[in-house]
Amino acid sequence: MNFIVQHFENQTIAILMVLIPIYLLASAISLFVFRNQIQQITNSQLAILGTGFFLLSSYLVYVGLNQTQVFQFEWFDFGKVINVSFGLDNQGSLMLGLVTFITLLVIVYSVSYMKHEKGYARYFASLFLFAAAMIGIVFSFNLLLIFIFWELVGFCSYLLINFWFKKPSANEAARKAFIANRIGDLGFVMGIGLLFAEYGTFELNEIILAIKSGHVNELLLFWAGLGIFFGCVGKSAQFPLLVWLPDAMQAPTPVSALLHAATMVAAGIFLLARVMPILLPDVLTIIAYVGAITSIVGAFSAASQTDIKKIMAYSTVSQLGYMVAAIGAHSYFAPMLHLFTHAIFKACLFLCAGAIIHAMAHLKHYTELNFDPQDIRLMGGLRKRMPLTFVAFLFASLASAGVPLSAGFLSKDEILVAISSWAAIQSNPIHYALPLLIFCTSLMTAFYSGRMFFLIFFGGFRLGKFVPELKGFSAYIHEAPKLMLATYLILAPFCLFVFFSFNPIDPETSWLVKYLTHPSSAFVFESDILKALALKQDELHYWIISISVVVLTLGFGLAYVLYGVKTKYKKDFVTNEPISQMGLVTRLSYNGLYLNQIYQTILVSPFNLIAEKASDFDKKWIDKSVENASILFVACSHLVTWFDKNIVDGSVTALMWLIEQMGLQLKKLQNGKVQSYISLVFVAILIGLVWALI
Amino acid sequence: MIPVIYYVYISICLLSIGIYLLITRTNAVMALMGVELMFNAANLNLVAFSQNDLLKQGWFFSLFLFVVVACESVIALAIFYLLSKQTGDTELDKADTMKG
Repeated sequence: MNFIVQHFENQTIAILMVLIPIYLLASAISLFVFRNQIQQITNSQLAILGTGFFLLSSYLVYVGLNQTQVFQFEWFDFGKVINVSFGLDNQGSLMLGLVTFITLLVIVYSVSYMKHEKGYARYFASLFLFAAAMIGIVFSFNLLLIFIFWELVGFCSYLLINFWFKKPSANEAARKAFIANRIGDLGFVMGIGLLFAEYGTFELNEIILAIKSGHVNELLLFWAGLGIFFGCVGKSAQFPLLVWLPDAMQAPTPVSALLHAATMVAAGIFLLARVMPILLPDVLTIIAYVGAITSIVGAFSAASQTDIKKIMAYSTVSQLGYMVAAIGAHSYFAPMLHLFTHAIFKACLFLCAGAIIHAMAHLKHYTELNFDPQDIRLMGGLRKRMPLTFVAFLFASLASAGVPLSAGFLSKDEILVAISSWAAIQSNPIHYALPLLIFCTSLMTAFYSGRMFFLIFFGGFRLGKFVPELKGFSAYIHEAPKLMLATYLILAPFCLFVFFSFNPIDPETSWLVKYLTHPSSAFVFESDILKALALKQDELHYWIISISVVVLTLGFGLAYVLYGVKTKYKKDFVTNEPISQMGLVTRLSYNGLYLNQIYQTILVSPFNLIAEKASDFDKKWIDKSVENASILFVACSHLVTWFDKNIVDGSVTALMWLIEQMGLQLKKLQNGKVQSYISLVFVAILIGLVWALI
Repeated sequence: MIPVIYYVYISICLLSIGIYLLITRTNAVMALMGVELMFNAANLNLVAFSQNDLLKQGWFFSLFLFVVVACESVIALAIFYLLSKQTGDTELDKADTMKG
């Protein structure tokens, strides 16, 4: 990965690169246009669609892994030439592969999952547009271009979260996601603007080159870096703006899989990795702490949720916090690796969850009884009914918790090592708080993964306890349709370590290292820090692994003790005790630290109050004055009408009358009597004569 | 020799009488007679003013004028004939179809 511009005159690659988003965009548009005709995508259509797309993008992945291709062209000129470049580098091509892979699986899954939905074609159109926008971000080497696609991603997420637009909760979730993203984007825009003001370009490469050549304005770079990071805070659901992601589960489940794995939240991390070379160490420190706080808030909130998708959403928040914290700790490889492993296991988890919800909802639909098909308290013992889903879920949750031999273990460990060694080389010992936070998160991650797993798949089927009519109905729970089943069974093996690194405990020998490493020359500010970090990492690595295994065992053990065996605690929990009667910690966790309520109180309520007051003011004063003004205006216009009618029209009428009278008088001369004409002639001659003589 | 001015007085009288006739008579023939009188006034001027002319050009010109007047009378009488065919008599007041 090199940020120095390299021009390759390989036009074919450029055309192929442009072709992918256009292909997706065209699919989206045609689906939308013919949405009333398309009721069902057949398997053959799917195969044709998927194969072309997949072949194209895998060729590009192959190209991008071998060399960096950057295409620069002049976009527009307003006295200042704005260049735009798009390209493919190692990082981007791997990301392209990931996005393609997950998107295809999600599409296949959705064909079955969304079979009976009304907005079938609309759904797929949004999905294709979503993928196109994300691939646009991956290809862009220009901040402005990234921002455009970034907004498009936000818009698509809005469309998809609001897919069931008749549900008020979906509307609200979509609005929340949109607004949270807009707040983040404000920072992003300001960051871009600051960089443009200083360097006069949106090109990432040019900015980096300028900084390297000594053009450094520390204050500006600090705020610009923070601004761009704030964009990532919005998109990747970091601490102050994380509230939208748990609500985004209002989207259909396959969309959640896509959104949490590849297209939406990954964009923030990807952007942060792209702009990492221009981030000052101070900014990175802030990023590290925001990430750590996010991860612990997410993990803490995930620990007591009852909704299966909400657990996973908070889990995503927490895992994204890991990645951001690792980027803050000057690590590039660890967060990128975690981005990939997380995408795989989170997509797998969500697709499994979709299958489970599908089965529960089917039962609900069949019996027409009212219960929440996403509530894990109602599940239990599903491993006997859905064995294949159970296996896939097992693999994914082991990876999610970071159990040795899983992919998640590799990447999470790399992050832990990166953060710990970062803290170790800092002079201020207060920075040890960071690894502490991350280890706590790691403990909670193991706990909530285990809790979810035990509650869903072990014990007895508990639905009968809540809905007595459904006692013994567990036989009606069945595996998902084959098309759905296939997708997460494909994903499940990728949760193992072998696909990422042949060495199960040390990803430093992984094949990905070559592609996901910044050469130290790419860093502007911290090349000596990086050397110190590398030494420290080697020193700490095995210690960290041991500690993390201990933490993991503790977390899983706790989950097993509380939810795996028949204990009083579990009994209390699963007998539908209202959350409000639980302990303070549980309530805090269940409500996500009351962040929503806090925002409601300190932001939304005052805002509503101001809006109400403004509306009152509007009604009382502005409306009144407008009304009075209009009355005055009407009176004036009456006056003007009178003036117009009487004075203006009158004068014209008078003139007309005068001319008419003159005409009438003159007409009398024309009396047809020849003698009067002659007399006139004589009179005229006489007058002429007199005139001439005088 | 009678001074020219007396001829001029006479011709003024003739012209005035002619105009009076032309304007006041309702009968077209009477009006025509007024026109003839006005011609004669002009002729009288021609003849009178040429008494000082050695070549006597005015006398000859007056001869031409008689011819013109005769032609004019013929045309006028022809028109009166047609008029009397339309309206029954030669009253000028009745020929007012051109009135505005």
